[in-house]
Amino acid sequence: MAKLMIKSSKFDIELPLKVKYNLIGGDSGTGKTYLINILRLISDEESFRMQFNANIDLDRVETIKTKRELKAFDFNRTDKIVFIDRGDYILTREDYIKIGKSPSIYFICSRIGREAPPIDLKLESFLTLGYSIKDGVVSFRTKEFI
Amino acid sequence: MLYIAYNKIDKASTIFDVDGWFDVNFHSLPETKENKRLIKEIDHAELISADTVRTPFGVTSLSNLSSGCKAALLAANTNYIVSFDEAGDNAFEAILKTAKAQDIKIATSLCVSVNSKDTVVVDGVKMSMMRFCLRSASNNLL
Repeated sequence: MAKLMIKSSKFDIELPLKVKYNLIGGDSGTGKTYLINILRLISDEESFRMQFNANIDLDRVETIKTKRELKAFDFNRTDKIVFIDRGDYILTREDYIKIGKSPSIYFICSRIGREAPPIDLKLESFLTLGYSIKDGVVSFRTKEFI
Repeated sequence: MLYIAYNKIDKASTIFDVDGWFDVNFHSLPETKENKRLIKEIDHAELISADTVRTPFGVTSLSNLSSGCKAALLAANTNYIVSFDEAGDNAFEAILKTAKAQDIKIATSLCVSVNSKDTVVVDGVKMSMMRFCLRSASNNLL
């Protein structure tokens, strides 16, 4: 199975790359924002990135945490793996339509709202995140929600 | 009592940007039993001083609490209507306990799944939390 694997001496991240659109929901306090903060540091800080090994080119990783960053994001960029935090708050229906036309892979932290997002969601799209800490290593894994 | 705005959300008087609102206005928290319980139950963290928490990932500031935890703390410590759209079911469960002792006002458009027979007021109508959960789930399916 295709997986995104990013590891260092302190973090061990494995996420499925089965579908184009992934909604990460579930309980509060499961590490969604923390995971995106780590990915942002990997994406932005060369010194932090050097501590990680990954099975993808880490230049592909993009993170969006605010409405302003979303507005500045080019949805036409190809081959990106885009992580969007607080999707319930920052994404509008129009944003989802842009995402639906985008060639990149998306992981969106969002609960299931009253209207289904207008993107091609599969059963495998609905994920919950969990973390565990062992010997000082924080591991992030997802489970399929349905 | 927990008051939930579901179909009748007053956008002008509801805090939607919970993270931003909390981070700007809550640099410290009263070290009450209730605040400590909310932080413990939702984020598995400990309020160790007015402005510091010990989370499973380390000691940090209040701004690093989860959005759901911030929503519950805002609802418990202010009179505002607080959006729970970014909150998980565990945050709903935790704020239900707070609402046994004080009035709490929240808004949500989510499909909620909380196993509780507690009475809540949804858009002015009394019903059990379980009934509200069924209603929110059916609205999602239809």
